[in-house]
Amino acid sequence: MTQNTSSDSNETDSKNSGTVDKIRGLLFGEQQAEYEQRFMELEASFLRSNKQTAQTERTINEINIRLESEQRIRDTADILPDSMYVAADANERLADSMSKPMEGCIRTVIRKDPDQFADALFPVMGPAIRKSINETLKSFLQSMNQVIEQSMSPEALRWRLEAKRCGVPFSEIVLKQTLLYRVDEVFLIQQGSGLVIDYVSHPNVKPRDSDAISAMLTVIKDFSRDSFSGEPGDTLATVEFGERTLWIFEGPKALLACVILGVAPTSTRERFQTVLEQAHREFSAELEGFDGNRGKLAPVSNLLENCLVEQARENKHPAEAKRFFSKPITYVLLGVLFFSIYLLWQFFAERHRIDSLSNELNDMPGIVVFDSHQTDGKLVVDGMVDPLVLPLADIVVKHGFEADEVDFNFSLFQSLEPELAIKRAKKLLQPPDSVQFTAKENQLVATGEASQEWIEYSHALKQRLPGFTDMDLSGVSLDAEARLRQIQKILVPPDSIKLRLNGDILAISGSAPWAWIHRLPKAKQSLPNINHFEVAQQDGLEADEWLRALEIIERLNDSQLFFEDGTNLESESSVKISALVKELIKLQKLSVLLGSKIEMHLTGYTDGTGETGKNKSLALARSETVKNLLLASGLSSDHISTEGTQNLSVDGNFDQTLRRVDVVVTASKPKSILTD
Amino acid sequence: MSKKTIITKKICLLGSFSVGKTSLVARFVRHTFSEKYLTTVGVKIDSKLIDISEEMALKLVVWDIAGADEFSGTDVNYLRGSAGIFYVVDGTRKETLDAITELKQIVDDNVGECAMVCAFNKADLETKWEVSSEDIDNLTSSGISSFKTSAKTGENVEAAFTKLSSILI
Repeated sequence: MTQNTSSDSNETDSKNSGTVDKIRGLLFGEQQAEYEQRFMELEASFLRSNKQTAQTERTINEINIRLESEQRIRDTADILPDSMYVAADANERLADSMSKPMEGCIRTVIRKDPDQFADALFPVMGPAIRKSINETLKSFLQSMNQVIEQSMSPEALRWRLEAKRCGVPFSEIVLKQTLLYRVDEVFLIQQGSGLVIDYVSHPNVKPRDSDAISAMLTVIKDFSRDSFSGEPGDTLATVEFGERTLWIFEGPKALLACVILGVAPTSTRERFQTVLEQAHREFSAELEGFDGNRGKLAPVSNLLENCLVEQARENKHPAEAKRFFSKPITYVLLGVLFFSIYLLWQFFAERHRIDSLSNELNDMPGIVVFDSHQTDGKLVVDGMVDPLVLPLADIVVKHGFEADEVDFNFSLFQSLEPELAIKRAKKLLQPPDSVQFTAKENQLVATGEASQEWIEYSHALKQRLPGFTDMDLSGVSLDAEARLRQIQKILVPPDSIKLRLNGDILAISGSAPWAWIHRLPKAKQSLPNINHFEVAQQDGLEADEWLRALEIIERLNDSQLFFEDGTNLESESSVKISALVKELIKLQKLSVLLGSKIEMHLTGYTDGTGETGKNKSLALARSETVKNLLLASGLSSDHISTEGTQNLSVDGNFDQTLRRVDVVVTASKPKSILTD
Repeated sequence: MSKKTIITKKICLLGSFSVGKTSLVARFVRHTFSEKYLTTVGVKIDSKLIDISEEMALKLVVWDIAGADEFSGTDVNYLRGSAGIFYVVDGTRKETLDAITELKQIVDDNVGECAMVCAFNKADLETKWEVSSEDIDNLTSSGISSFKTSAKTGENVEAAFTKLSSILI
C-alpha cells in the first residue's frame, strides 16, 4: 500500500503497519473499516499529491531549464550573426564547419520539396545553363562552319562578303538569310489555371479569345504529357503546324508561349527564355498572387513586346549600310576600279595616238606606211618616204608623241603624186611668186604672170618635169614689166610720158604732143590685154601744145597797153601790140589744133579826169582801138571782147597808168580724148 | 472613356456524363472551340464576359470538362487554378448527385477553397426528377448555391452564373 521506493522503508513500513493495525483495531472498532478506508484514501491522495508535487517540481525544473535554454538561445541568436561575421572574416573555418550542415540542408530541402528548390533556382539556372551550352555549341558551330565553308554558290559567296562586313560568323549569316520569320503572338500564361497573364500580338494578327486559347493550350500540354511522356519533367515544348511554330517555355509560375510564322533561328529561343526569366525575376510577387486581374501586371507587356521580333529579307539596317563605306576595303576596291579605268583609258589613248599618226602618215602624199609596231617603248613605222616630205618631226609632235618616241624606218623614193610633182617642178623651174602651179591630169598647169625669160625658160624645160608629161603655160601672162615694155614699143611714148600698168588698165601721165595723144584711142586696140586708159583728172595727161598755149596765155595775160591820151597808144605799147599779135597768132594756131577756144577780153580804163560819161566811152574806145589793131594784124574778131570800165580811182587824182587797156586771155581746156 | 478593368477567372463545369453541362452553357458562352474537343481531349474551353460595374468586368474562362464517372488523373490537372466550380446535376438521375459528392471531395483535395454553385438541370422534366428538394437543400447548406436550371428553356442559367460571379469577386 505504501509506495516507498527504498527497500529499507518497506521493511519499516510493514512493521509499522502491523502495529498501526493493532492500535486501530483497539481504538476504532466498528468505524475501523470507514477510517481505514478514509485513511487509505488520504494516503493515496497524499501520495498523489506528492507525485504531483514531484511532477510539478520536475516540470518547474524543465521549464526553468527551458527558459534558461531559451534565454541562451535568444542570447546566442543575438550574437550569432555578428559572431558569424567575425568568424567569416577571420578565417575559413566557419565555411568549413558550415559546409557539412549546408550540404545536409540542401539535400534535405531538395528531398523534401525539389520543386520549390528548382523554382527558386529557375531565374538563375537559365543563364548558367545557357552559358555552358553556348560553349558546347560553339565547337559544334565550328564544325558546322566548316561544312558551310565548303559551299561556294554565288549566294554563299555573297553571304561570305556580308559575314566579313558585319564581323559575324558565316554560319550565322547563312541562318539569318535563309530564315524568314515573324513572331505573331506571345502569351504569358499562369501555370495550372491556364489563365492569360498577358498577351501581345503583331498588328497583322486578328484579335481572338486569348483566354480560351491559352486554356486550351494548357489542356493540350497536359494531354500530350499524359499521352507521350516518359519522365516527369517532360513537357510540350514545340508545336509545328504548317508555316507556324509554337514554342512553349516553362517557368515555375508562368509559361511563355510564342507563335512564330516562318522559321526562327535558335538564337530567338534564347531571347524568349530570357524574357520569361526576367518576368519571373521582376514580377515574382505579382505572378505568385495573380488572381485574374491583368491590370496589375501591365508592365509585363513591355517585356513581352521584346519578343515580337521579325526578320524580313529586305531589312537592311541603314546604319550598317553607312558603315560599309567607311571600311578600308571599299577604298581598296574603288582604287582598283579607278586604276583599271585609268589603265583602260591609257590603253585606248595610246591606240588612238598611234592610229591617228598612222592615218595621217598614210594620207599624206609622199609617204607609204607598211606597218607600225611598238618595240622597246618606241613606235617603229616601216614604209617609204619621198624626201620632199621630210622632216616628219612636226607631224609626230602634232599627234602627241615626243620626237624620239617614233622611229621612222623609211626607204626613200620619188613620189609622182601631183602634190609632190608640183613641188619638184617648183624646185626646178623656180617660178616667180606671181605664178601658180596646178596639176591637171598629167600636165603641169601654170597660171599667173611671169617675165618673158621665165616663160621661155619654162618652155624649154617643160618636157623634163618628173611626174608631168607636159606643161601648160598658156595661163601665164607676161608680167607687168614685160607688158609695159611691150606697150612702150607699140606706143613709143615721148620721154615726158609715164606709163603704168594696172592689170588691164594703162595709166598714162605726163605730157606728150597732141598728135601722140590723139593716136592713143586707136592704139588701144593694138595694146595686148589693155582695156582701159587711166588718166588723172587734173593735169594727168597734158598735150604739149596745150602747155605751150598756157605759157603764151600767161605771158599775154595781164598785159597792159598804156595810152598817152585818148586812144593813142604809147609807142612802147604799140610795139607790144605786134608782139602780142605774134603770140596770139601762135596761140590761135595752137587752139585750133587743140580744139580750145581762145577768148580775149580787153578792158579799157581812164585816169578818171573829166566826166564820168566821157571817161567811160573813152575807156571803151581805148579797148576798141586795141581790138582793131589786133584785127588788122590778122586775128579774127570772134573771140575778142571789149569793155570800158569805171575808174579805179575815184578820188579824182591824175594817174597816168590808168590810161590803159588790160588784156585778159583765156583758153578753154581741150576735151580729153581719152576719157571713155 | 477609360478602359474597363477585366478580371479573368477560371471556372470548371463538373458533372457526370450527359447531365447537360454543355447544352446548359451553350447559349451562355462565347464559343471559341468546337465540341469535338470535349470528346477528344476531354475539355472544351469557352468564355463569358460579365459586366460587374462601370469600371470592371469579369471574364469567365469556362472549362467544360467531359463527364466521367471516374475522375482520371488528367481531369484533376484540369482543375488547377480554378476560382470557381459549377456543378451540374441531372435532376432525373440521382446518381449524378452522388457523383457530385465525390467530385466535391476531389475539388477540395486539389483546388482547395473556391466559389461553387450547382445547377440541377432538366428542370423542364421536373416531374421525372429523382432528386428531391431535400437533396437540394442539403447541398445548399453545405455551401454550394443551388439552382434549378433548364438548358432547354434557359431557366435560371443566367442566375447561376451571376451567383457564381458574385462569389468570385
